[in-house]
Amino acid sequence: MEYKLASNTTTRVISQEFDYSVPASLEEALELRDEHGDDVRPLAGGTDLLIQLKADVRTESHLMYVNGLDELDDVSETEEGLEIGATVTYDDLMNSSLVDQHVPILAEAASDAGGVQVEKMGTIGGNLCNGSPAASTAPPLLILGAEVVLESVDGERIVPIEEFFTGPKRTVLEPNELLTSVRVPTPASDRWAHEEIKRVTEDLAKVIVSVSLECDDGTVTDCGIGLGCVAPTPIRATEAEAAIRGEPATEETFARAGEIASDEISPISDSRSTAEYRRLITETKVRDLLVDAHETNV
Amino acid sequence: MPKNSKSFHAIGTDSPRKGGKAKVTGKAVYAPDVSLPGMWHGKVLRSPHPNATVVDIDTSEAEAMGAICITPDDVPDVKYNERTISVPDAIYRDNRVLTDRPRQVGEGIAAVAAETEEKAERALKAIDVTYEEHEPVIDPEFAVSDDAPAIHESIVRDGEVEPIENNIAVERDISVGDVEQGFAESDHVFEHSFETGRTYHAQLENKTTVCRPEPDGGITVWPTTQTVHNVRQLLGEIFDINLSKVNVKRLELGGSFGSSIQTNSVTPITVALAMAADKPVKIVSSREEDMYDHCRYPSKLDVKIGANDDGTLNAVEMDVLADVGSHNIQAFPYLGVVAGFTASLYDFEHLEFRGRAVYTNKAPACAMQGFGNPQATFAVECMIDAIAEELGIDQLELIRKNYVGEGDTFWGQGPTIKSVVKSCGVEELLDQGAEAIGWDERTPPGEKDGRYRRGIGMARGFHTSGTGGPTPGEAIDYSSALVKINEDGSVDVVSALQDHGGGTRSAGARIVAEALDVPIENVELSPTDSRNTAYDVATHATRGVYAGGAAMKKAAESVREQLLENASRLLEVPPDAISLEADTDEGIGRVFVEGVPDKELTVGEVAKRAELNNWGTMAAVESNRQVACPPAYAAQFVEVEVDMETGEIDILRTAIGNDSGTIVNPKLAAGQQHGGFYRGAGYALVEDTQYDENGAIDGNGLLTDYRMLTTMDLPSNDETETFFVETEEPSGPFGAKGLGEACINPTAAAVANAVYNATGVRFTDIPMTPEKIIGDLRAEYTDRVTGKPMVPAEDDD
Ligand SMILES: Cc1cc2nc3c(=O)[nH]c(=O)nc-3n(C[C@H](O)[C@H](O)[C@H](O)COP(=O)(O)OP(=O)(O)OC[C@H]3O[C@@H](n4cnc5c(N)ncnc54)[C@H](O)[C@@H]3O)c2cc1C
Repeated sequence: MEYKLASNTTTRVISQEFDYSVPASLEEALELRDEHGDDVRPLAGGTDLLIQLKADVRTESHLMYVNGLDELDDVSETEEGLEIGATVTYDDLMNSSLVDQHVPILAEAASDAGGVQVEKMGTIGGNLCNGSPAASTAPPLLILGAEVVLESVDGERIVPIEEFFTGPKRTVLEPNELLTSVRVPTPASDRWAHEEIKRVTEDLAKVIVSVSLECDDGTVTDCGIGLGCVAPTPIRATEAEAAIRGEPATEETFARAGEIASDEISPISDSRSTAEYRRLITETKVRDLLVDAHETNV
Repeated sequence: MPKNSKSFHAIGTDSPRKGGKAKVTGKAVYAPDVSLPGMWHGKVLRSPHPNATVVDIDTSEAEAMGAICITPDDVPDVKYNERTISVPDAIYRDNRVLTDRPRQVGEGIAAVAAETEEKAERALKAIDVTYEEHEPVIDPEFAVSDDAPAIHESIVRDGEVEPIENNIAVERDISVGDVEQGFAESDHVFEHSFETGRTYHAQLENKTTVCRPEPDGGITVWPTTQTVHNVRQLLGEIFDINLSKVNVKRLELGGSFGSSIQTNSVTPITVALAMAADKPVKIVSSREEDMYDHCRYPSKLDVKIGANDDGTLNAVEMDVLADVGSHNIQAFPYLGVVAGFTASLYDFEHLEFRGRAVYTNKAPACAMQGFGNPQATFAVECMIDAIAEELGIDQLELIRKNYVGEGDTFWGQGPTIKSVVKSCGVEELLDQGAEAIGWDERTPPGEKDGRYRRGIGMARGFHTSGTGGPTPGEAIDYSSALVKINEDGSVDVVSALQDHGGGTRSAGARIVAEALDVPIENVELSPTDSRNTAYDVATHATRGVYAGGAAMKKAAESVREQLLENASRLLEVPPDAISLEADTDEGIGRVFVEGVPDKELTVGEVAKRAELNNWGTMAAVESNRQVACPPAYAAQFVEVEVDMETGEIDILRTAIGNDSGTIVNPKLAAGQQHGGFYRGAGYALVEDTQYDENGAIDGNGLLTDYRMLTTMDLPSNDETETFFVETEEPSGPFGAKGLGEACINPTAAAVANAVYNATGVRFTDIPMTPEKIIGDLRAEYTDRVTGKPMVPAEDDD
């Protein structure tokens, strides 16, 4: 099905009939998932899923509400950094002192995602599992080297976030699995910057850029460049990163990073922007943000 | 300039608006709130194709589910135009309740009603339609070519069938003087082409209708509308019911921006469905259906202006190509007002206007906030800035030298509606705006450099207060009101005048309070419908206060005479010896004889004694047509910052000034200034509905992809200076003129002129999205690191 029919709308009742389960524990949820596989769809905040159902771009016969699961809604400190439960909302990320202390870039990304309603309802797990190239939390998680924990009745597996996305709306999540948490190591450097370029303040992004930078004595020792909306999945601009490691931390170097990054992406034109503009803005903003990160007082 | 010196007790005060409490407590009733016992829910099956013929509709499965279905065969075979407020000759009829020949994505083919929304939705999906698809016509330039298929073969006008050729819905040429002579006599001739976007109204309330068939064969209808009487007339005509049996209820209206001047397409569909079901039926459009319902007239304007070295503007030539979409709602008046607004901005001796409006397979364009004025003013005011620069004359001076002001002939509403300007605050608007923004410190674009460049720009404009005039003209324009004094001295105002949320009716109550000299607290607005009120054309064209309020004033004045008459019998003095005064502290109207202390009553006492004496109710119904549609002037000044590398435009500051005569509701009036500027800035920067080659709105036609500015994108209140120059309009109620649309008309040009002042690049195609302007900006800019010009890369996909 496609959106083209004018009555495929997001502002009406959901006319599909579906079963609805509210598991009492993670264990029960995993059992349901094991029994029904792809025939049961996890429902977290619903800010992606319910819209798809209203617009009839997706048909589901069974929804399973996961937001009430105690096991999934916590932010906790680990040896390497933080473990963030799948149903932690944008609002939680923005207000968590642990997030602020360890990975403030994630709070910044959360504050860019949608307006107040979406901040209250949308979850980090839903954001990642929805698999959109425009996922706000993905570029920062990519440059932080985060991992996702995927659980099934058979146990858990840990997948680096770089390997999680396989294409637009596609991830490695198996039909019997749930994403239960995201593990985020505390970065070595406090130099970072994040920006979503949008048509208006309240919008999905045209381009998302997250950068991190480590410098020693005027030389770039390490850097991360995470990008959203410019490829089939959120990506790291690995060629640009490689090209500036070991180079002097100057505006010329950062400009080169922008140039290379704009060459390694594969943007498309859609209702939010054009492929051409996405390339131009990626070049400019990668440079701008590296300059900003470099100028951060650490 | 005459300043308003009269002191009012109700007008211009900040007492709470009527009905405000009901709104903020959620008790006000809008069409989507209406729910009746036994009511069913309707849904419309809409064409997924932009240009097709329906070969077959199979409703059997939906009917087996218990739904009532209607198809084009089940609705009256009447060709109509959903907008009815012009004379018959100016109404182009090409529409039907349901069609088997859809001409746009989203056009209604069939409809279902069922007990619940879910059931209706499922029944809708069970209907099987077979279409024969035709090649869609999306581009208006292609539409007029010989290769384009015909969208409409013919239409009906004033009872006659007329053929349509080359998809041209209307052509309208208007000529004054001799433009060639005007150009020949000019020292310079300037030329520019402009293009404006297909803005969606995005009113808060999705169009809705509830209809209940009545036992006597009549209908009661609760629609989203700006005019209950025109809905009533059209429904009476389509369904062949006496108007006395068609009752259309006036409800609160959740905004409109012009989208409900015509009867909304869901209204006759709901009526047909309710009559077929023999039950009350409700249809609420979804937001996406609404986005396919209407839009602003997008236009291409080629403009030529002849000017002398001293700044005298002699002649203007304008070619307009407007894309009307699938139905011609009001392209004829549209072209007339684009010419009229242009002619009434500046005192051109010679004018040559050629307008063409063409059909395409897209949502139909209709009036939207400013109706033709934002388009015309954008083009003309950008040219004024360009001409001023070329001639080396300050823009404000060029305006002062040429604007149409007091004593000049004015025909803003088109060539058939002419009047003479009697009130004008343009000079003060320019002075105060210039002062607020720091116009004198403005530097030319050549002096700016760096990546972030700031610029100041301004534009002037006006809107007409209604469409009235000394002669009848092509648009209907009059209002009616009943005013009566109750037995305790309180006052009922009974009128069909609609309020979009701007406070029009509240202003009317102030006018009545002022005219009767009773406190505003004693005046209330009655719930009304088309059966218990006399005709009111519509709240549109910035006429609510000026024309609707004037009818209320006329009725109140008539009641005032009755009050003086009755008081004269009670106080035993001639009516002329009696004074009226509102005692706002006591909350009463005083009736007294000056200097004679024992000759005093309250309005309530007069009313009660009139009742006890069986003298009858003090009441009057009046209809009133205004004999002019005076210009409500506006000037806007803005400062922007442009990022030369990304094309992002940030509006930093603005000064918004209006001359609307006497200001009736000061706070709500300032709200109109903010609101108009905000939509105008959106018109300039982001708002547009683009169509793909399959005739679907880009971004799947979801509101997620129809972006509008919010307060987060615009200057804060501290950086927004709003001001009024209060002139006194002799033809307006207590000196008032219109306001609403005047607040959007100059905005796009003011922003574009500021962008020019910042960057030295003149953008003539709005919205000016970063994607559209970045190439031209970067061509003017040298990279700060590499020293190279930043020319956009060729795209590889
Ligand atoms: C107005 C608006 C603005 C928005 N703006 C942004 C924005 O700026 N940036 C952005 O990134 N997104 C934005 N979104 C999209 C959306 O809000 C986010 O992607 C959000 O994080 C989704 O989370 P959710 O909890 O609502 O997911 P849901 O809709 O509940 O689920 C999304 C998908 O993930 C699956 N899922 C959810 N949880 C799990 C789990 N634990 N394990 C396995 N699968 C799971 C669901 O089955 C579904 O397929 C916006 C949405 C709206 C409506």
